[in-house]
Amino acid sequence: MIRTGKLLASVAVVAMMSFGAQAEDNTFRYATTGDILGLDPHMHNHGTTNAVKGMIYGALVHRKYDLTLEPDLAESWENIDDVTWEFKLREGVTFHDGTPFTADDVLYSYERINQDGSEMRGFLSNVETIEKVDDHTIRIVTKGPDPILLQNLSLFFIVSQDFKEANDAFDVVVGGGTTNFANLNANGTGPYRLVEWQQDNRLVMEINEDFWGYDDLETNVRRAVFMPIGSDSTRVAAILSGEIDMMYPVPLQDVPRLDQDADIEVLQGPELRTIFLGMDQHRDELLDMPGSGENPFKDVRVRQAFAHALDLDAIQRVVMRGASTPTGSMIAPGIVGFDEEIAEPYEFNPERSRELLAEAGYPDGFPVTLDCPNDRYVNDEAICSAVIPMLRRIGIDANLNAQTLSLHFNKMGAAENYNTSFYMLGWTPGTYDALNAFQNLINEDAVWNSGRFFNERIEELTAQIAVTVDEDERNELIREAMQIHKDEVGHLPLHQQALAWAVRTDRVEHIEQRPFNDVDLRYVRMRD
Amino acid sequence: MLDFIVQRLVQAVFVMLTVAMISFSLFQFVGDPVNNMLGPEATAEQRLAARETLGLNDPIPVQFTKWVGNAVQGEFGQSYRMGRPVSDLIAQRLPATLELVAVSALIAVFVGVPMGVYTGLKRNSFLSKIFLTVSLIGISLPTFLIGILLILLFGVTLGWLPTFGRGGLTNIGNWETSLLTARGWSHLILPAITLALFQLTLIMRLVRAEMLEVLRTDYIKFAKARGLRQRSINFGHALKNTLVPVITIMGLQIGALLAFSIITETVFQWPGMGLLIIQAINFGDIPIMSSYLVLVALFFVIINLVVDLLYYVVDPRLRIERTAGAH
Amino acid sequence: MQPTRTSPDMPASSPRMWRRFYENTKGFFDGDVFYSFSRSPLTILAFVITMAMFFAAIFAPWVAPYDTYDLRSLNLMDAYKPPAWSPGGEAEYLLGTDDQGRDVLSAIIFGLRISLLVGFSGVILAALVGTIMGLLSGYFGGWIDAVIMRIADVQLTFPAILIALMIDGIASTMMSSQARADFKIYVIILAIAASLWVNFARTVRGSTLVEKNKEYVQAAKVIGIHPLLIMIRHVLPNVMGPVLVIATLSLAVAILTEATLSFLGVGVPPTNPSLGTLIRIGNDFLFSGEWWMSIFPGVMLVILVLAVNLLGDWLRDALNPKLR
Repeated sequence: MIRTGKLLASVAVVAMMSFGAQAEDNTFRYATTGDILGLDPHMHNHGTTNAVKGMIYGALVHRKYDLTLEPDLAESWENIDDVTWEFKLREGVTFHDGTPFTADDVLYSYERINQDGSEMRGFLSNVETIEKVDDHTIRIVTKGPDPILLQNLSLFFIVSQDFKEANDAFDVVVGGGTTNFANLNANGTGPYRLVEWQQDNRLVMEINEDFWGYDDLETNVRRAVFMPIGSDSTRVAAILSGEIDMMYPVPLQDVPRLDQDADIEVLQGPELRTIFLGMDQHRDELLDMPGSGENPFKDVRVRQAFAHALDLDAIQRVVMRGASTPTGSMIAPGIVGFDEEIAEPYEFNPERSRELLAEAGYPDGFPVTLDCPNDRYVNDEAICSAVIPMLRRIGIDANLNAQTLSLHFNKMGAAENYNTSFYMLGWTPGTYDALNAFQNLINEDAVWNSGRFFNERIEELTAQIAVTVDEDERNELIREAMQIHKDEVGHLPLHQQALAWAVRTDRVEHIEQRPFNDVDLRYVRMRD
Repeated sequence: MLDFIVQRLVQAVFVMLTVAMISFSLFQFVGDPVNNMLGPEATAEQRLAARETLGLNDPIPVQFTKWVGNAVQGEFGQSYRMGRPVSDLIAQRLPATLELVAVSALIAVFVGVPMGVYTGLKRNSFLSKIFLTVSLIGISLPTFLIGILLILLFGVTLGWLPTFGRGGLTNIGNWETSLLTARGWSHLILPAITLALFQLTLIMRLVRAEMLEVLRTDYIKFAKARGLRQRSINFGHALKNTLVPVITIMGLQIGALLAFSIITETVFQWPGMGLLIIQAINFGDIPIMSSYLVLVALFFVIINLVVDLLYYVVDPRLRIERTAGAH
Repeated sequence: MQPTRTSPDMPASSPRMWRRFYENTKGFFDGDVFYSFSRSPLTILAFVITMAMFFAAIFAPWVAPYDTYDLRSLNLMDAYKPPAWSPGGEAEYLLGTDDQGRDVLSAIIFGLRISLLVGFSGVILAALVGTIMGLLSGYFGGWIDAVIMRIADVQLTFPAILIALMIDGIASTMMSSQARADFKIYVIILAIAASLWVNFARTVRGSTLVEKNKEYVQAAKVIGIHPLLIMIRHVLPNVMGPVLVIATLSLAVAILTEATLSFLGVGVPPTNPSLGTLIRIGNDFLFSGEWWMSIFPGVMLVILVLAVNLLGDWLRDALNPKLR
């Protein structure tokens, strides 16, 4: 009996000690639909993943919540000529493991991001070379004058050469279902360090007290727990019960309910991501029509027919419950190069669609499968499910294949050789500039041009846009290219979704909602 | 006694070997480990080299022996998707599942047995009829629906209990437990009830049936005739005799609890092995699937062994017969 | 039912065999069983409900108000309609509509179809395989019996749902995503059958063992009729009762297993939703008050399983002389 008592007492002490420790620090717990794809900063280009990497890794410049840039690992920079930039690197910065940060790490990171498998290499596609001047000075030479180099550099994360080499982790791995050391371990210079990542369960970060800008940080979050919760209802239940402090996106049907709760605030705002559908315009034979030797999507009339078949207003009103802006453009208002006229959606006219299909030689339609993620964008699967009947009504034998984001991106990406005929994707230009959309979605060699749309004139225009510094001239080039893309129906833009974040106001004092749908812990303040 | 145990052990080893064989062939033939390790771009030489280093060129029996050898040491290879040793992943998730299953089993026994006794003794009381009706519905309700309804009632409508994941965790060594804080319990209670309900109804019905049977036996009639108090007859004699089948069923049902925890964990996003296996199935992560199979089999086999031994302890008749036979 | 009624020299002409089969089955339903049936209103109710659902499922295209497979007919503007009796509901959609504007009642009826199809096919397959295995095992004995029964032992250690889940997982891994959409339903049926055959096999084996040593079988052997044939002709009718009981109870398990797999998202593809799939989809709308999308399919599932369970319970009791 006495022994049991002792045991119980010691257990209780242990319990209280650990409980106390947990209550002491400011822990911010937040959730979104899916997990990060990996920790390798040069592998996946995916919003949630980039956001987490952006807190653990440093870049030469950092983008603040209001989209302006501030110095990060580069203290200052100047243009030596049109194409040469000199960056003074911050001294005395160390990686999380204590190794000092030098110019060699930047060069190594450049070499690393430039591998074939990297989805992030696009950000530096305009860079000719990076040279070391001394240990804390580098020069970047671009292929032509580059007005958005700094924007791109904010997503060029710097890794420690020593750390990667010691662990033989230079290569980036391609494809889902595989992983490597770089993807499971992180050693950056950012304000937060990785504590643990239990895939599909939780990712824990802790404040980095050795962060070079530690004293100026706005945040008071000492510890952050990021949890992927796929099920909408579970995510809602979790914030209602106070198990998490913040979650996004709020399922649109649950906005009123959460708003009613005195301790929960729903933050809404426009998002810069455009959701669109893409069509395979490259294969000579559509994957869904084996043996036919035909690919209807190569005919612009078929693509137009699809465009006129989609009732974007119905999707906006019912599926999105009003929380979206239907669009005809690949970029959102707020992105450099946005044009209102182009953003006017295609007319909803199923009659016209049927005529166009008949003209193109498909009066009875053809079979096609729509590939769709089910845990990435707001109501992604529901949008796709709504699109299917619309296409059926113009005679297309459309079917849906909805799956989890990593499988979806794998299927429609280079890893499976663009194994899709018709797919959904959403894109926020990481640099807030139309050029990013061209380079990633529309150009011939774009990483996410899964339908491999190609237009020679757009290629020329893009090359010009990349090197044009004059703002008006540049906007005119963007407008012309976008107009061609729209006339050619290169893709089928659907809408920009609205941001909806739910925050527990009894725990969180302030949080900055960035127009990209991700949390930067630098701008979160907890109540004490 | 000894040959009884030996016989059981032999059977257990046989079961384990069979399951190991299935797991091994899964591992070897369904998921191509080379392809998964090297990716599609690897050259033929690289593949050959990898096959050699992985020992895939050895004769199958040799490979199997090696595989079993590794498995015995807890080595199940690496998860394709997460790139970590499967043993680590399972070790992370195991505490959550075991705690859930243990609490559910306790609920099922400590609520189910008294209910069964009551309905057995007072066959015609109003409460008994309610218990029985509810138990019938309980058996027909799928676990996930029970979970959803509980979430709706206690999580949403009443707002009393959290409905998601684990909370209030404390670490004892490597074991992450939710049993030491009130918060932890508040998270545990709904999933545990969801999981327990089916077993609870099963135990209740079983105990009731056994009670009815035992109460009819001469043994009890004699006890009554001897003038023993009703109370001591009911609990001292009758209940004791119902324990044997209850123990047997419980043993089997703990296995079922483990299987059904997959569903409960999905509904409540309980970060245990069930969630791990569902995700592994979705992604075709063969190493996790095959090692889960082995682990569950091991779990079942151990429970069955324990049950057999308990059986032996509880039922004196077994012992007497055996000793008599030995003379 | 009496083996002595059969003269062993009778050739195994198939009409005769079927006739005997019929007589035996008829005998099994005679008198007592029907008497107990008519005495139990609950059983009658369960029977009526089961039959009603069965017919609704078979004739779904005619019974259901809308064809939910005709995707062209879906109109987003009809989405989220509550049941007809609540405010905002419309009479055309008795149980409301889902997030895609699909009529919930029709979706349930078509979902019932998938659930019952999978359940019945799974059980029939399991009964077939189990019976054959039981016959072989009981008749041949020796190593065949040892192998089959050891497999059964191992399998009995695992709950049905786990076996179905594993088979499903393995099969999916080996199939392309297109094949998965097309053949998934067969995989589920197979998985369910594989998880249920053991009970049939054990029962049939037991009966076979009893019959095997009876004189008429030995006699048949002597006059040169293959004893296996005799077995099939006599054992089979005898085990019809128990097999039927197991089949009924297994049907409830099979329907639940399918619903659970579909709920977990590894069951039948969402393009032809079963009751489990409907519940999974509707689950996302519970918090926002659109409860009808998951509760109605849930209620339907529970009623169906409850009715089948009741029938099974009654059948077991009615066929068990000890309890009568």
